[in-house]
Amino acid sequence: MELAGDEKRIRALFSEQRFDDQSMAPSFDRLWNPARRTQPQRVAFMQPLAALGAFAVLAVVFALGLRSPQPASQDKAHVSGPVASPSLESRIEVRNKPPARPRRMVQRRNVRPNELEHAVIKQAEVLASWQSPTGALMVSPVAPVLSSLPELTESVKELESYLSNTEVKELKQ
Amino acid sequence: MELSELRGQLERLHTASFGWALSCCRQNHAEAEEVLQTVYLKILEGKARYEGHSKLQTWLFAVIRNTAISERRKAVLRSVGSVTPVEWKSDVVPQIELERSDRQRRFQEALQRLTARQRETLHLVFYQELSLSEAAQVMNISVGSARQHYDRGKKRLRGLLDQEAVDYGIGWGRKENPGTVL
Repeated sequence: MELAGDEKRIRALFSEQRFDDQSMAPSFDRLWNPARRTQPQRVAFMQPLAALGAFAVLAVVFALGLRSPQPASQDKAHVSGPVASPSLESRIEVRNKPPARPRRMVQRRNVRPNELEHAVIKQAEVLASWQSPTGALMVSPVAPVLSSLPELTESVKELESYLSNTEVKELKQ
Repeated sequence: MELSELRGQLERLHTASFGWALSCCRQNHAEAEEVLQTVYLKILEGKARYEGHSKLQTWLFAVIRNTAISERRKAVLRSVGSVTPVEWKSDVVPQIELERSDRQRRFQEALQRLTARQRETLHLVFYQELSLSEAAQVMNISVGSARQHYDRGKKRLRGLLDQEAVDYGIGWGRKENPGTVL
């Protein structure tokens, strides 16, 4: 019973609040009309944006379509190059599609290494023949002596060859 | 549903919607107006679409509640970078506050001390006169949870009102005598 009474009281307080709110509520048109006015503007703004986006996508697709033959010819050049490694070849084969294979095999024979590959080969040769500028200072007339060791079976005479002249004289005295 | 038909339905529910928006925005009138306008815009743009799975009122109230929550969240995020903190207290226009009776003001203060779910449930049941299952639909919770919030909220509100010595009950219609010497 007490709870029912409380419910009545709470309901009465809420209905009083509802009465207050109704008197203070803005009119429907005041909120609806600005929203209505905003809505078509947004749609009008979105339409050109969507058209622009579609045009951009089409342009990109078209550009990619124009560029697609170029990589194929580059691949062909790489395939027949003398420095093309097996791994590179295998990668190229993966990239190339099966229907293009017979045509590619014919074209392989005609392709020559390009200038870039020549430059790379030259650079490799230069690197292989490089010598240190101080390398000449390391050359000595006793280099064979320094780079060899006396053996246990060698005679004393032979061992003397490892000594300098003054040391030999001193030994003889 | 045709736009003209929808407009008519929304207009019919407008005052109730505004009351619910006020409750969701902690009695902040400006915020409630903004939320309700955003809801109308969402409906016009088709971002919020009524599929007819529930009553239009429960669907509309759920949209209002979600919009109020997201607006509040945006305000908090905006305030993170700013120097002045977000004003959480209800900023009801002083004139409106003055017009409210003392009893009603105390009642509002007591309501603000409830949890959000309890406040929402009581509002939907007592103010909007929805059933518990409809209230649960609006709040996107189970009926069992809604019932729990309802019972606890009612009990706590009664305690708070007793504590605040709000004049209700037997002397409900009694007017306060300003000449009374306490």
